[in-house]
Amino acid sequence: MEEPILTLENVNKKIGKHHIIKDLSFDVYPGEVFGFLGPNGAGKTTTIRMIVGLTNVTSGEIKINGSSISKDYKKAIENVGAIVENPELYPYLSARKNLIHFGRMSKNVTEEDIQQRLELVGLDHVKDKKVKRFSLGMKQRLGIAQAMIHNPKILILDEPTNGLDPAGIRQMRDYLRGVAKKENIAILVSSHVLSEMELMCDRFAIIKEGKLVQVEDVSNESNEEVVSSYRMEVNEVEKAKVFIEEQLDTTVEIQDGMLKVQVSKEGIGKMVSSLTRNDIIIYQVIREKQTLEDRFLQATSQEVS
Amino acid sequence: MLLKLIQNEWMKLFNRISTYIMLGILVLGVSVTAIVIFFNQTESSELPSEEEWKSELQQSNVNLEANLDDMVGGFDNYYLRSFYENELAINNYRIEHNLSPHEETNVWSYIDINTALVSLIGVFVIIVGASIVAHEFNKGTIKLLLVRSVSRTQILASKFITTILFGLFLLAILFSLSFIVGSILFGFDGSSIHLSAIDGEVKERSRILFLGLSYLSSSVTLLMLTAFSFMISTIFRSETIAIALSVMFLFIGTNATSILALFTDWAKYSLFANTDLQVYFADGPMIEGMTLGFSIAVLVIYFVIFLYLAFIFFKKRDVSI
Repeated sequence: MEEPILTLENVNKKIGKHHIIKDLSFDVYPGEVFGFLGPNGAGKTTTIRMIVGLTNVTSGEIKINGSSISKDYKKAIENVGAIVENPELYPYLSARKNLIHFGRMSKNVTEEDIQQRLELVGLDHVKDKKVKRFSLGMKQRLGIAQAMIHNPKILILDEPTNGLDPAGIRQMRDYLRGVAKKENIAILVSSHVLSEMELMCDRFAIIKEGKLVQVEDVSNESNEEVVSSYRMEVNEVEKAKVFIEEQLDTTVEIQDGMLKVQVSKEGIGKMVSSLTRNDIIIYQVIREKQTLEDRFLQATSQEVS
Repeated sequence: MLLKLIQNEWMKLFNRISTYIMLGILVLGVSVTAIVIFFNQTESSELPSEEEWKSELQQSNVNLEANLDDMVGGFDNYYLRSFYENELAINNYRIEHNLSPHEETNVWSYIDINTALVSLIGVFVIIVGASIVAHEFNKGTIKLLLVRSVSRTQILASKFITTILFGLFLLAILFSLSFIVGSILFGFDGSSIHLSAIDGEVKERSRILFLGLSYLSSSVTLLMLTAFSFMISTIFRSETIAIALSVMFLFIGTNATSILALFTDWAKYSLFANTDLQVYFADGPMIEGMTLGFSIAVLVIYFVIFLYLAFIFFKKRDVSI
């Protein structure tokens, strides 16, 4: 396995008496889009602020590319490009001047880099327009250009699709996924819009009340051994139920005139072929996919001790 | 790196409309004084004759001496006494050397009048100093600014230096504009000597040097007030509080201190008793026993405290907007 680009180890944050973040630990690897989910007020933004050094860590360690953000700030932050909440750019400067401004703050950013980034986010034609005339989508894109101007190894985006229309969201998603794979950079995205995260992320962490609830892959059903539940529409429901229970030794429920079974991927294949061999017609087999939303609600509603 | 940051701040400053409004007001101020002075200028024919101004000065000397006599045994105050003594000395010097206090309006007297506009620059620099930090917080751009491999100290330093440079830039504009306008409208006829007295001893100085000194020493006040408004805006993140407090001090600071000086010597530790370094080259300090070294030390201490507080707060605080 590759070295993680971002590591959080038992990170805690207290403000006054409030314990906002409790023992948070996770890793983010190069080339992946990592989703950071949680209900409002769970501590997503606080965590992101700590990662980029806007807020001090009470205890624990955050390392970016091996350098601690609290002890070796400059070296750690060199690898980071970030948008925290809204992309707040200077409204009275043009898009190009905004990028020149942030480019000057890092080493080795040339005019060509700026031009290239403008083209990549599709703002080349409006580069001399003042940002206050930009739409929200354009600002978001300029925000990303700004975050990537110094070729960071990790991109940290807090709610990047906030306020975008569906076309804008899709564009953003394609762009981010493309960037992660092409330039092999890690992207940490926080959001509470789950359907979007499902399409964008490779892995995700869920936090609730400052605690990590779980870290998972988005598509964990590819594994052959994992048992999922399947629904099946057949011509003779009762006959099929008896057949499966007797011959295949699997419990079957009947729900809305459909058979419901809990088997592995391999199991469902066998079941289908033996049913067809016994003259039972199968119209459709549906795997009941647990959506990210189900998992999110499941994770955030159960009490974690 | 610091140079690039200053470049950035300068770029932001000159892409904002308010900066051009300030420049416009300054140019307007110079043109207003030019027009007013032009239509009220003293011609050589209007100047009082030698006898007239000499008797005028002698009359004022009689009054000054009477004031000084009153002080003996009565209410004795260093500030007032040195003021009377120095006036007296200058008047005598004028009578002896035949130097009339009256003159035709000329480029020097015009530049001298325009020192009043330095307070205007003071206000502008305070506004810039107060907004250069608070603005980043209001707009939220501070987050993008801090999430870079530049230390917070460097960012704040670049902002302070930019504010000071902006002040010097305005002073240079005022001085050169006054010189150009003055020399075109009023010409160079007039005394090129400036008289001042310390401890009753009169000194002659080149006038342009004196004017240069008075512009520079007025920038000391500017520097201190910039540091002050900078500190307030960094700590409270509010442009309004910073501007209000600093402008108030700019206009009443010196007067309040001279009133205070009538009652107590402690006034010499006040910031405003020390901002006007020109007194050491001209009319002597407000309070007995103050020296140039003392004033510089007091100023440095205030300056360090202001900036230290600004930097400490800026460095330590969590950014939560």
